[in-house]
Amino acid sequence: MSNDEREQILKVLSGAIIRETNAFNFYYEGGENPNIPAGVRGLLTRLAEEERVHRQLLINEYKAIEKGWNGEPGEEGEPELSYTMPDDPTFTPLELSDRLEALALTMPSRLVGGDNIFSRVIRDHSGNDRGTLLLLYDTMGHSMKTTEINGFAAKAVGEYIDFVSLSGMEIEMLGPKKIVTLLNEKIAEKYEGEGIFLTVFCVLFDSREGTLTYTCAGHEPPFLVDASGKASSLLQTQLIAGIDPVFRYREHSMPFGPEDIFCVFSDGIVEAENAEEEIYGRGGISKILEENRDGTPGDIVAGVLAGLKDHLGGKPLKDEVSIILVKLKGE
Amino acid sequence: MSHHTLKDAITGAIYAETRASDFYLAEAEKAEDPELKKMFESLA
Repeated sequence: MSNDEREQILKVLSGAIIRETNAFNFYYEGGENPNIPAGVRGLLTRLAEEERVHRQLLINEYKAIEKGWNGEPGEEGEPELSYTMPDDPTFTPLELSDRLEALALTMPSRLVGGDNIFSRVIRDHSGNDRGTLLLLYDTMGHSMKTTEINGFAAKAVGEYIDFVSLSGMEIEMLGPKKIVTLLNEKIAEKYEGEGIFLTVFCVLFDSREGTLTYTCAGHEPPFLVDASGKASSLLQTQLIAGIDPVFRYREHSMPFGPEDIFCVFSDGIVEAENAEEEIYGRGGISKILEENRDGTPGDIVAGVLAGLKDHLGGKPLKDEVSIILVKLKGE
Repeated sequence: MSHHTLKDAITGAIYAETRASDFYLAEAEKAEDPELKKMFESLA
C-alpha cells in the first residue's frame, strides 16, 4: 500500500464515520422527540443503535489500518503489512441459521486487504431456512490491489445470490460448487493474464439434514473435530480460483452434528513465523481445537489466538489472519 | 483437460501439486511419529 493510498483509505473511512455519526444523531434526536408517536420513537431509537454499531465497526477499521500498515517501508519502499495481535479483535458479523453458533474474524482489517468472510442464510421460496452458506476467500498477495479484487469478488457473489433468490431459481443454484465455479469464472475473466488468484473455501451447513457440504479451491484445508475428539482435515482440494475459467468445481458432503466443530482459517495463521522463523503450523491449530472442543466458539477462537500469540512471542504478523469456527447449538 | 497449450499444461501441473498437497496432509494425519508428521506437513 502506498502512503497516498493509505491516506485516501483513511479519508474514506473518516467520511463514512462522519456519515454514520450524522445518521446516529438524526435517529437519536427523533427517538427523544416527545412530539413523535411512541412506536415511531422506538423505531428511531433502534435505528440509532444500529448506526452506533456501524460507527464503532468503522472506527475499529480506521484504527486497524492506522496500526496495521504503518510499519517500516518494505522492499518496494511502501508501508507493508505489519501488526501485533490486538487484545480485543473486532469480530465479523455473521448471518446464521438459528441452530448454528459461530464466530469469525479477519485481522488486521475487515474491509481492507485480500481476505473476506461472507455469510448468508439460504431460504426456499416459502422463506424456510435451508441452511447457512459461509465463504472464506484469500486473494493472493499483499498489495492494495487485493482490496480491489476482494471487493469485486464480494460483489460478484452478493449479486449472484440476490439474483438466484429473487428470480425464484432452485436453491441448489446456491450450493458451494455453484458459488465457487461462478467466482472462478468471474475472476479468471476479469483479471485474465494478470496472475490474480484466490483461494476459496465455501461451505453450506444444512442443520435440518445435519450435513455440511463444501467446495475448496486451493484453500488451506479446514479442520473438522468429530465426536471422537480428533481433528481431521477436510481434503479434496481443487484448483485455485482464477486460473482456468471453465473449471467445474465439485462439492463434498458429510455429517455435521452437535458434537462436531468446524474450523476454517487462512494461511496467515498457519504460516505465522516467530523470531526463530518457525511457523505456527496446522498442528498448533488442531491441538487447540481438540483440547477446547467443549467450549463455545468464542472460547475456542480465543484459544487459537492465544496459542498464536504465544507462538509469535511479540513478533508482528506479516499476513492477514482469518478464522471461522462453527458449532451446532445444543438441543 | 488435454495439455494442448502451455497454459493448460501449467494449470494441470498446479492442480497436480494441489492434489499432492492433499496427499501429504492426509499422510501427516496418519503418521504417529512426530518427525514424520512434521516432514509430511512441510511437504504439504
